[in-house]
Formats: sequence, structure tokens, C-alpha cells
Amino acid sequence: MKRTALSLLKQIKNNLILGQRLYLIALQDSFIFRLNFLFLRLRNIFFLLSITFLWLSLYQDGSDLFGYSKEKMLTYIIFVALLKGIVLGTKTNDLAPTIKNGELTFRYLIRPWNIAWVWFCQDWAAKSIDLFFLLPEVFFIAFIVGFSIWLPHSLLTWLIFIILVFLAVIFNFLFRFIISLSGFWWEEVWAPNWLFGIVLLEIFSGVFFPLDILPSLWQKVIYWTPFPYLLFFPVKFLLGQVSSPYSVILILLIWIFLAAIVMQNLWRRGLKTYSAFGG
Amino acid sequence: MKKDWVTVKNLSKYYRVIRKEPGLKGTLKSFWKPRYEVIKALRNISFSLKAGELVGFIGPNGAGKTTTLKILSGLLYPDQGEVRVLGKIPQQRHFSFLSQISFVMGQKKQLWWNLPPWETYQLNKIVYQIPEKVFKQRLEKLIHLLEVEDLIHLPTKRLSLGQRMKCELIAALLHQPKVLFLDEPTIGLDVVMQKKIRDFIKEYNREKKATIVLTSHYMRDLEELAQRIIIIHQGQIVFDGPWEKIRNYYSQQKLVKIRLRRQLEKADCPQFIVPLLQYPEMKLFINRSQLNSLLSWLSSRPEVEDLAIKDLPIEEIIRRFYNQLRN
Amino acid sequence: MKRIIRAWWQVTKMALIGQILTTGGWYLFIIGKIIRFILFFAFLYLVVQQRQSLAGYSPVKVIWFYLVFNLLDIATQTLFRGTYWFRRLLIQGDFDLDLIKPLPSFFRPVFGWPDILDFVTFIPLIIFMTLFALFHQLIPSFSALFSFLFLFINSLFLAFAFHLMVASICILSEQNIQLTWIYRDLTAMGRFPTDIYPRSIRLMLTFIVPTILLITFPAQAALGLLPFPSVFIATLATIIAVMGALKFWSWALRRYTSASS
Repeated sequence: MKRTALSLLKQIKNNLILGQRLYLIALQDSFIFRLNFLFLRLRNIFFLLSITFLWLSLYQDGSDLFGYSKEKMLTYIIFVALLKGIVLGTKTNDLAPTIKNGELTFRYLIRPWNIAWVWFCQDWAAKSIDLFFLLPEVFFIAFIVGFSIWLPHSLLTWLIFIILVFLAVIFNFLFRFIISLSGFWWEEVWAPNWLFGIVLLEIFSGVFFPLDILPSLWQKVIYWTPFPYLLFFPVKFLLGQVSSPYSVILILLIWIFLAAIVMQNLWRRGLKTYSAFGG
Repeated sequence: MKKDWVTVKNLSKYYRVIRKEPGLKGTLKSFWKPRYEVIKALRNISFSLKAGELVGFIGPNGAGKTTTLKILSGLLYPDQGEVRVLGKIPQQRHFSFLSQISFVMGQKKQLWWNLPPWETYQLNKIVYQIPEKVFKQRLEKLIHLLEVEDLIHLPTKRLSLGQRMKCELIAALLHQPKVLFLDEPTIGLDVVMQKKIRDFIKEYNREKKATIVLTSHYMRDLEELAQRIIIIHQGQIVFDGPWEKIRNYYSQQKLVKIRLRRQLEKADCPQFIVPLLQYPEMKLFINRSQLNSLLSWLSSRPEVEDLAIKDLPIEEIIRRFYNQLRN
Repeated sequence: MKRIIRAWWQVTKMALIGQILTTGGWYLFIIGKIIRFILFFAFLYLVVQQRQSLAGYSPVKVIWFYLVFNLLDIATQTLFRGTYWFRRLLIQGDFDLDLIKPLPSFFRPVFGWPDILDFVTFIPLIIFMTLFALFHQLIPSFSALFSFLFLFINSLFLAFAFHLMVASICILSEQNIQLTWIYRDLTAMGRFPTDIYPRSIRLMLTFIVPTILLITFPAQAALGLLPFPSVFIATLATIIAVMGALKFWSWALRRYTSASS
């Protein structure tokens, strides 16, 4: 009994060391391509700028729009931008091409690593870089709008917010992973990855605009998908516009549970049907 | 006198490479202030080829073989010197030049991965302006010669390496180039396939009188195909001539292969054999002068089951050549 | 020249086959684009409706800007998508074999992966735009229509210059797919009438990536709002850009050190 506990602890420790190594390597990887890296940051700023100025222009006469004051809308933009980096930032995109050109066998299936852990660590490298640069970027935006943003005062609000973000991160990771796993059956993972992983994910999670602008029928449909709960609802909660955060937490937990099951299932089935390309 | 189809005069080529120190700190350093290093890939090389010549380029990895081929085909720009192929400057990429050359690289593909080779052939037909009838004829012939009738309509990714190589060759030859560059065309192929490709190349060279420049690490390729050998080492030409010439450098030695029934006792043997004793097979490199005495001694030994005398294998010749260069 | 167009058509067919052969992928793209278009359309309309004006433009005109942006975006994607794949082509080293072929050296990097599927949404969009413009009587005169068409073609050439430049940078730095995305992001800022942006940003949108020339000018021309000198400036800019891009590309090609053997 004691022995299994010890070996389990050792395994965890090994995984953590491995994780740290991977994290550092992934960090270095991002720096190597200098210009590439700068451009990524610039892109982010451009996007934020265009949205910000759109809203500034719309709010010129000062009155509320769709129930959002100018300050709250700007807060929405800023926090969605922050969360986008934290929650949606990922390197899992690499998995699909890896499967596609047969590298998977060579690099990963042969090694006794827990592949999900590997990708998770790399994800975190991507997220932390994102976060590191997001803070000044977001600060810059806030500066442009003269800091007219609205922040909640209650510590409890922030705490619950952090929990929501944490759950969102987990769900997004599982979701991305599942999409990449479809690389086992579909040789071209571009399409579903793009459709579900980028277009739908971003639009339906409120990256471009708050979802409650849309007609209520559309909203009802969208709320059946998991996406609004990743960014939109957490930020709305922060703005004090969600009466019961616990139902959001519950919904997220359900989605996480479903995703985990699907992932396990697909991974197992995928390994069986996997055919490394010949030659 | 035949005109030279390929001339190279005083060609030099340099590369700039970024030097990075290991670790995260090194990465950040090279992020801010990258440090460059100049590598001299080719130094002042010169040679010329006639119509229909089949030349083999030999050299260790990084010697400059592929770089030379790439400059000859116009892919890279020379830093110094002059290059002419079919009277044109390759780098200018004129239609009259490009439509008469072809390049096959063992590790690269011009066939589109997801589509059947046939589609790429169609593309080449349009690009090289090959008339429909001529195209059909040539394609039929090539497919038949290389035995890929059933394969050209399968997606390239479903073909094995050998099959793909054959299809690549077809794609490269549809427009019947006068000058053909082959960079390791048989790499990764099994022995049977290598021979097939070799025979095909030989036939193409003979029939179309095309000038072919070949690089390969497989000495069989060079032995069978090349009439002339150019050895490049560290960016310079160290040998340029027919096979016989280089073989004669090392013709003083022969390879003697012995198979033994029983082990030979040290006490029984002449002095120079003792350190080379092995069982059950021995390979000895023996000078001509010692050959006769060795043979007469060996023929008297009952332990010897079989005996064979051969010329030095190509690999051995080249290896000694490289060693000589190093010293 | 005809040979090159025929080659392009063959490449387009091949790209299409390539896309369709991959199971179930292709129609998802179209669905995704339509969803995104509709949602954004709805968003813009609903939001501007509330205010009745954005930077002085009525909701209908704001939508018009959005439509012109989409039209140009689709056309650019259809023609120049090759730039997105160029990096991979370079890394694999297969670009060498393209340079051996008697085609313009920038053929595969820029035109080598046309997206004819994207084009599928092009026709409905044109029809919609025509009906939209007619219904709301947006185009005041024939000269406005003519300027619009002229500037649209002009924008295509300008976009070509940009993509070529990006391809050149890909060669020099071998890791610059991001640059193409920057181009897209900056042109995406032209989704809205660029008057909403402060002067500094508009300068950026003129001189760094000329979004204003690419999108805003044609859109304004159609509405009869563009003064003639601007048309002239746009044309001049395009000519300079194309010539500069071609020169830059030749220069980059010289510095090309193909992925080694």
C-alpha cells in the first residue's frame, strides 16, 4: 500500500519535472522566431484597437447601449481580450499536423509519456507568454480610453471569477484536444479545427461583441453550446450582470465532464485505427 | 568538336549562418544581437561538360555537391565566377533555359501530395507547352518503361517511396530535358528499385544524349552510370577524370577475401598476417608485390576453404582518397 | 501569358480536388464563413440602428462598407491564398523544384493555392450587393459605378503587391506567416468606415497597410463620395507598390538559400 503511494508520488514528481522542461523549451521555441513573435503581439493590438474605436465612436453621445454603459462595455472588451489569451491560448494546433504526417508514431506513441500532459504544459507556456504581453497591451487600451472602465469591488466576485476562468481553461483544453484527435480519422483537420475551434469558438464566446446584443432567439440557440460560458458569462459576471454564477459553474462542469469522456473514448479508438503513412 | 553544354569558371559560394548559444539565455541574446558566421560552400571551382556526358559528383556530406547542382540549375546565385548551361545564365531563368533542364532531388517532390501524379503531369504539360499528342506518347512510353501503369492515378501519398521516385522521374522527363540534374535519386530505395532506376537513367542518357549530372552516396550508382567522376571536398574539386584514373591510383592494392574451415594458428602464419587473423572470414588489402607470395602460401594451407581476389571496391577507394585529403 | 493563365487554372483545379478529397472538410469552411458573415452583419446592423449613425454614415452605408470589405477579402483570399502555404513549402524544401519550372518565380508562392471554394461565396455576395445597392439607391451615378469597379481592380493589384512582399519576407526570414495575418488584421480594420479611427491610426492604415486605399476608397467611390484626385493617388500608389514588390522579390530570391540537402 505504502509502496504504491510512493511510486505514485514519484510519478507525479517526474511529470512535474518533465512539465517544467517542456514549458521552458516551449518558451524558447516562441522566442526563436523573433519577428514572428513581435507580429503576433501586434496583431492582438490591432484587433483590440479596431473594436475599441468602434465602440468609442458609438458611445460618443454617452448614453447606454443594450444595457451596457460606456465604462462597462470597455471593461467587457478589455477582459474578454485578457481572457482570450488565458483561456483560448493554445499550442494544441500542433497535434493535428503531427498526426497527419505520421510524426505521431515516431515522436510520441513510442515514448512512454502521457501525451495529454505534454500538450497541457506546452499550452501553459503559450498562455503565460500571452499573459505576459497581454497585460501591457490591455493597459495600453485602457490608457487610450482614459481608463474609463468599471471594476467590481467585492473580493468574492473576483474569487468566483477566477474559478470560472479556471474551469473555462480546462474545458477549452479538452475541446481543442478532441478536435485535434479527429486527425485520426480525417486526414485534413484544418476544417473542423477552423470551424469549431476558431470561428464558432470565438464568435459564440463573445470575443467580438457581447452576445446579448443579438435577437433573443439567436441567444437561446447559442447558449446551448458551451462557448458562451468560456468568456462571455465570466465577464458578464464580473460586470455584475449575472444573478447566479453557480449555474454557470455547474454548466461548465457538465461540459467538462462530457468532454473528458469523449476525449478518453476518441483517444482509445484512435490508437486502434491509426495507420502510419507508408513509405 | 562538341560544344560544351555546361561550363563553370571560378565559381564560389558563401553562406551566412546565425550562431546561437544554448539555453534560454542564449536564445534571448540572439534575439537582440544575432551573430553571423560565414561558411565557404564552394571555393573557386571550374569544370565543363559536353553533350551527352554523364558525370558523377562524389564528396562527403556538406562538400558542396548539391550547392553546385543548385547553382547550375539557377536556384542559387553564385558569389563569384561564371556559370553557363546550354549557353544561358541559369539565374536569369529564361524559358529557353528552364524548358530544357530538369532537376530530381531524392528527398524532395514536385508531385502534389494529395493528388495523383497524373494531375502534376497535366500541369507540366501546360507549363512546358508540350503538345497533347506528344505528351500522350511520351507518357505512355515512360509509364511502360518504369512499370507504373496502375499507379499514376493513385494519390501520391499512397505510393511507396520507390513508386513515388519513379513517378517523380516521369514528371521530370516529360519535356525531354537536355540537361538533367539528379541529386541522390536512389536514396532510401531498396536494391532492386535502385537498379531499375539506374538502368532507366542509363537508357535515357544513351537514347536522348542528355547531359546528366548525378550525385549519390551509393557507389554502385556512380560505378555503373558515371563515365567521369568529379570529387568535391570542402568546396574544392580534388579530382576530375574518368573512373579508370582514380582506380589506378589504388590499383597497387587488391582485396583478398578468404574463407576458413578452421582457425589459422599464429605460429604458422607469416608475420604481416598475424594482426589480421580472423575466423571464419578474412578481408585483406594486399599490395601487388606481396600478393604472389601470400597466394602461394595460402594455397598450401588446408584451413583455407575458399579464396577470392578482387579490385578494391569503390567505397574503399573513395575512403582512402578522403583520408589522403585529410592528411 | 496565356500559358500562365492556363497553368493557373490547372493549379486551381488541383487545389480544389485537393480540398475536396479530404473528407468532409470543405463544406465546413463555407458554412463557417456564412455564419461569421451573418453574425457580424447582424451585429453591425443592430448596433448602428440604435444610434442611427456611425461616424456620420447611416446604417445602410455602414453595411455597404462591410460588404465591400467582404468582397475584396474574398477576392484576395481566392487569388492569393498561396502566401499562407508558402512557408510550409519553403521548409519542406520543395520550393526548389518550383523554381526549376518555367513559370514566374512568384507563381507558386502567391498564386499556387487558389481558393476556388471561397469564390463560391463571391457570386451570392455580388448579387446581394447589387440588389442592396439598387434597393437603397446607394450609387448616385455611372461615374461612381465606374470608379468603384476601377478601384476594385486596382485594389486587387495592390493586394498582390502586398502578398508578394510577404512572400519575399518569408524567404528572408522563413518564419513569417504572421505577416500575412497582420495584413489581414489591418485590412480587417476596414470593416468599418475608417473615419471612426483617430488620425494616427488612419495614417497607419494608409501607409503601413493601405487599408484605406484598398477598401475605403472603392466603397466611398461607389457612394459618390470620393474626389477624383484620390482615384489618381490610389492608382499611383498601386503602380509604385507593384514595381517595388517585384524588385524586392527578385532581391529576396537572390538571397535565397534553399533548405539544404
